[in-house]
Amino acid sequence: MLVKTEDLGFAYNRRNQVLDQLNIELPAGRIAGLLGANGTGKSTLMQILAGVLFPSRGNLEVVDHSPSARRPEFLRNIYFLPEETYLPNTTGDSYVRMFAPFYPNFDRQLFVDVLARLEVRHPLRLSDYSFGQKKKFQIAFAIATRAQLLIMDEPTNGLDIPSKEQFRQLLLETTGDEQGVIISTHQARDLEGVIDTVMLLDSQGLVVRTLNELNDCLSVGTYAEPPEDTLYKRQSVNQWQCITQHRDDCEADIDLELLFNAFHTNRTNFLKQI
Amino acid sequence: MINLQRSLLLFQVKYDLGHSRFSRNLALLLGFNLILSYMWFNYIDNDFAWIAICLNAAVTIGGEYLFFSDLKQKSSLVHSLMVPASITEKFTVEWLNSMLLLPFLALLPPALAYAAMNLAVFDGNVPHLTSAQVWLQLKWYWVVQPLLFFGAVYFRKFVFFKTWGSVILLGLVTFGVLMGMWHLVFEHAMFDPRIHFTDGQPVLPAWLLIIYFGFFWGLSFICYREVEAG
Repeated sequence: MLVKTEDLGFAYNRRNQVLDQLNIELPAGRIAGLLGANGTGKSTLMQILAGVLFPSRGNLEVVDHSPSARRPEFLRNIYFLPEETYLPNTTGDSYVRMFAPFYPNFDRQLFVDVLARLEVRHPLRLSDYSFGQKKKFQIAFAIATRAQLLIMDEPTNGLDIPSKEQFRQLLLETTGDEQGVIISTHQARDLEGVIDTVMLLDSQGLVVRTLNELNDCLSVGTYAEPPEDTLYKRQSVNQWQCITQHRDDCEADIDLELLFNAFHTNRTNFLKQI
Repeated sequence: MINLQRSLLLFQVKYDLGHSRFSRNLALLLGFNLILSYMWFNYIDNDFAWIAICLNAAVTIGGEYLFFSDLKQKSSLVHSLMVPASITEKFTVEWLNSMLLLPFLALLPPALAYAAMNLAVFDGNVPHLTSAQVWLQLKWYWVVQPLLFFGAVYFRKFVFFKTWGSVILLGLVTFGVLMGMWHLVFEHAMFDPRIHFTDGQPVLPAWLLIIYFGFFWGLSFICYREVEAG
């Protein structure tokens, strides 16, 4: 298991319990999308997995290590890309020269290739980059570390539309069977076609399912009138897009936005269905 | 344990990222010290005491800025915590930097300014610095270092003011409590809180110094190990 948690909890203080009794098992080879409303603790969970925050209770193992010990063997096997990027005032080349040696599997050619695909001008000083370019630079570095687990908090924030597509492609192409990725986002559509596992987080807990499991229980279809077993519906021109119980006649892939809204607005029935 | 190769890499990162800021500070200090040297040689006694003041002010203010500078912002803190090196290695690099490299580098501007002013303006008529004078300044710095080092980890921001503010506050409270206890026990006897000095240096027993250094360095390490991004 790349990530294993048992009854994980986190509170900033007695009155502010953010996460409670989270149980996660994420094997290698998965690309998981962490979806949740604002303030449900997505970033907090990612920071705990990366070891920059300590859990208040529960057990946690990430790439066979306890993250809070912050051992080098752990840190070189994960890469955490926070929402708020930080790049020191230096050039891209010197950044790589300084930090790549800490990662034994760092692939310089891959780094250059990813930068080229994301259209980042490499020789510039990092402080001269725009927000989006900084994100792209860090995505390239993260992928090139070949770390076992990539934890990315809102990686598509600030990326232009072509870059979002490149990002999706890059993840699919470069994630090996021994690796895993956890991506959080507010924009579920950014992850469509990339993730194979969904982690749905709200104030009451976390639900982790593969898309295959969800496809076996749920269906997405377009209807003139919403069926009775609709978990969540969205109106478009003269029709309804609905997420319902599984139907053999519906072959459409799960729509992540509909899925999340079904979980968010109709939690009890949603959980019964899955 | 400490991996030497990783520690050297951390040193390289620290100086690759910090050298431009540090060089700029050194240049500023050099200019500042040149002016002070001229004023001192012209108007005041040619003692080395002013260098002590300049050096300690420069190193303590500059030092607090340079110790654990990654901890001051959340984004740089996360970046620093995620660098694949152990807590001990990161701490040791900061400690060595603050104990050995920083004071020697910061001693350069006042010493250079003193020598340059002496030779260029006063034709070498002012006595040259002695190694004992320089050594004394370093010792003063090393006495202050554990406090600021701990302050840098504990407070993270506005370290200089918060640390010295706390020291003054704690000192006043301790002094008040001690004085109160003294009067309770000895009634009319005089309370003498002075530290006795010999050749300008406080006379403190070795065990007290070991406790002082060990306490603040140990506490700094514990605080650093517990640093979180929240």
